[in-house]
Amino acid sequence: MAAQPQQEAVNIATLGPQQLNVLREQLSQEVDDLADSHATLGRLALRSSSAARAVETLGESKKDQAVLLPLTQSLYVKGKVADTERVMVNIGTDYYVEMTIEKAADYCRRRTTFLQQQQQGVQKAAQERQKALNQVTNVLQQKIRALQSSQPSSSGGVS
Amino acid sequence: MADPQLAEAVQTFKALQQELQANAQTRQQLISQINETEMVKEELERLDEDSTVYKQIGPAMIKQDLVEAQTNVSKRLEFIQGEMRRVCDKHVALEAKAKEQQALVMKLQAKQQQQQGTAQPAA
Repeated sequence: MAAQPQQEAVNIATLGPQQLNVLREQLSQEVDDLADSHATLGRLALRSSSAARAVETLGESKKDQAVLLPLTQSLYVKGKVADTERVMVNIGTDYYVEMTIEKAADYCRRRTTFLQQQQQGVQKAAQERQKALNQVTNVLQQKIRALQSSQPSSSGGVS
Repeated sequence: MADPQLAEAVQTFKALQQELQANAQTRQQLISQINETEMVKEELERLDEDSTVYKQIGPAMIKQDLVEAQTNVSKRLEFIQGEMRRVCDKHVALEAKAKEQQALVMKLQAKQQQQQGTAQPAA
């Protein structure tokens, strides 16, 4: 997402059609990028909340209970639950922490909340950009129509 | 007839714009690194003293002392923030140069148009 550190407030009515078009494309790109971010955050939040549930389920299971472990997306092996108390949690930048089930579930839930908040922030920004995009598109169309009506169409030709 | 001075000025301007873009990309990467490192720092600070922390080095997980891990992460965060300051300063400097260069290009373009105007007498 190409973010400009400062954006000067420009009255779009003062811009010419070419500049308006450039602005329109820029805003359109931003809306698309924000939509992508929104989707990604949603996926990650879902993954986080699934992890919380998975950890809780592990905690409720018994030691040596039979499980199926995925080797690939379609290949599983039989296994046994080894530890129902502690799990290894990836907290980022290659750091892992051994946590109890409760702490791990708490971590996952906190992460889910954080991601959902980020997602809402992105949605707000996307709505603002979309509004601006609509405004710019309107003004651009008005200007084009004004130009066309002030120049008699050349396709008229002398009959 | 292209003015070599103008061509050179345009080249310099384009190079500056490319540098600005590369710098902006670095800035984005640093932002994401700062965010991730801050989250790790916060998590480590929440842990009890007796927590077991591992760092992944290549394919191996090496046990780390909690306090040492916290210190390392703090130091890394400071380092990245320093890099960020550098990148932002560079952006400001590059932007100023680019503006200057753009003004020069426009001046030379105007000069060239003037010269072409006087060099072509009415046909």
